[in-house]
Amino acid sequence: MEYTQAEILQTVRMTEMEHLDIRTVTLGLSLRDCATDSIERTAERVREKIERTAGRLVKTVNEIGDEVGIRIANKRISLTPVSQIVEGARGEGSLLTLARAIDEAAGRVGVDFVGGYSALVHKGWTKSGGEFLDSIPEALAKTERLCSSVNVATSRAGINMDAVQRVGRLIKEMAERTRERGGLACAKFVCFANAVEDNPFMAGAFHGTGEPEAVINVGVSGPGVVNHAVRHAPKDLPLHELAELIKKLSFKLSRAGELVGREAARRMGLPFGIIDLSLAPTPVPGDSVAEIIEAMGFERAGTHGTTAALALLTDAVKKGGAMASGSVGGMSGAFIPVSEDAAMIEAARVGALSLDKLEAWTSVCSVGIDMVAVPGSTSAETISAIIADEMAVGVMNHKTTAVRIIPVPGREVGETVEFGGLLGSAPIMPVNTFSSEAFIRRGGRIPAPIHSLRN
Amino acid sequence: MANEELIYRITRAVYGRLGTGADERVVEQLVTDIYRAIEPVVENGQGSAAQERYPASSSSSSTAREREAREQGSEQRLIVSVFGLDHPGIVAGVSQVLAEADCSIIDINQTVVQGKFAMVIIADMSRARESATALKDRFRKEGDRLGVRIYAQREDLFNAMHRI
Repeated sequence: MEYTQAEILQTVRMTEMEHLDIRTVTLGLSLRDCATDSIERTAERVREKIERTAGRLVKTVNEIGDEVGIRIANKRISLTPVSQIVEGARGEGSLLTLARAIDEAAGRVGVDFVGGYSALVHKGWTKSGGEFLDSIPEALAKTERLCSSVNVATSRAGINMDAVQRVGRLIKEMAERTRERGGLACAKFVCFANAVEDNPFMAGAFHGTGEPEAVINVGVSGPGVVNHAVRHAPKDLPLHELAELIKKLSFKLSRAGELVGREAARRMGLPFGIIDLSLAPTPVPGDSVAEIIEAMGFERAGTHGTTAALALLTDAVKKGGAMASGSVGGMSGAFIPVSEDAAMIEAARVGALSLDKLEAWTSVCSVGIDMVAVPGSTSAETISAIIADEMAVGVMNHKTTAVRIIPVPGREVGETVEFGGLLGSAPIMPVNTFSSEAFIRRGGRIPAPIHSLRN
Repeated sequence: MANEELIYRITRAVYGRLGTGADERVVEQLVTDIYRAIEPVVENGQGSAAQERYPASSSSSSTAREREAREQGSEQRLIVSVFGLDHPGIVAGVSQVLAEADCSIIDINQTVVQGKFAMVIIADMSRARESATALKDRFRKEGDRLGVRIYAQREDLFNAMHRI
């Protein structure tokens, strides 16, 4: 027999017991040819294009999942940043019409999220861009599947603090508009530094301007697999050997992901883009990034030493992925969304994990403050200040960082908010109560770091 | 995982010496004794045993030609793995499903250790009349009926994960 029983058992164990899945097959779709001088007509074209191109996506991907024998959890669509296709549109029809058209089209083709209600404003915004930013809270509050992101900083341009200030206010408005659902709109909004153009993961996915007409990107996950391996490794295994173990597993996960991605692209008649190997947790016990960290030798995730552990983990994952496929892209690291990771929730609840530690973790993983719920009384300026810190980590270190934060209206520290499904539930975490207001109100721009002058 | 492979190999070696006519209980007892005797050694050196292939398979260094042959049509082949408590009729039940779906069996490997049944079948589904979804559904029903777990996955998944 071509494969050993051990190999066959390992694969079966990974897919059936350790929750190895393809987290998302995301169809990246350009909307640039949908731009017209009226938002209503643009909305019609967008609706038609999504339904035409993505009509077979869910069925095709489900078939592949059944054949290959690996669960493909989500099917999604990422679009050209919508702010860029409405620049020339004037007159009748509001941006909400377009947002709803996208949401409905996504519902009709059966995807659970569609990303790209986005804007890139790291150096400033146009007149239309400013109006677009203001439309985000209502668009997210009145749709189900639409996700939005705003890029406010790059290592080349620095940090647009006017945008950071504005996004803080937008996040507060999103929370208010979805007050009765715990501020759910905020869970569908990400603020980026160095946003990635081919990221398949929500809520930050959009189809960058350097991308082709349409493309299939794949996000692989597998914290459960890594967790199992680390837990069953000898307790005194030196860390470099632990890194080697994780690297080898990550190689296998990436190969499985690439197989599915290429097959999906072939059947859809589209080019294959990238595979993003990010350990993305789910609320299922065991399928947790925090548990991997704890298994390395900590009482709780978030204590001293866990930044080092996370650094080891993300680096090993990247190395394994890079060896496995020539098309690794997107974020490729580890996600640490608090509300979506059972052990992370517990660590925050018992006080082991703080916002400050999450910020420190950002320096060694992709998205730092992710799905973090804070008291509803948190001011817009404090939220902007939290964002500014995260953006600084990204800009100065030439890496992608992001913030997805929910100031839950009417809730205080010690309470919990339920979002349901993949978004999970989050304990309200305390923020520093001393004011950052005067700093944020200055506005302007934090200049790009000296190492941006590379030419 | 190394352990199950080792148990399998011990079982083969014991049968090799005693012949296929050997008393099942004696064999089972021997395998258990040998395994227990070497268990601490296995636990410490985990991994090395798992990486060796079965003696039955070809040499471990795969040439380009071998790799090509392996990948050829591997998306048309299905690896069916069956695990559960042993009782008569499992092989028959699983092969019946494959036969009804017009899938021919290319390779089959079955073992029983301490009442635990494990079987791996490589099946050719190039002439299959049913979709993978339908086949999967039948395997699930058959598995429920037989009281075993049946997993069916395309061979190229194993190829992607375990071969460079």
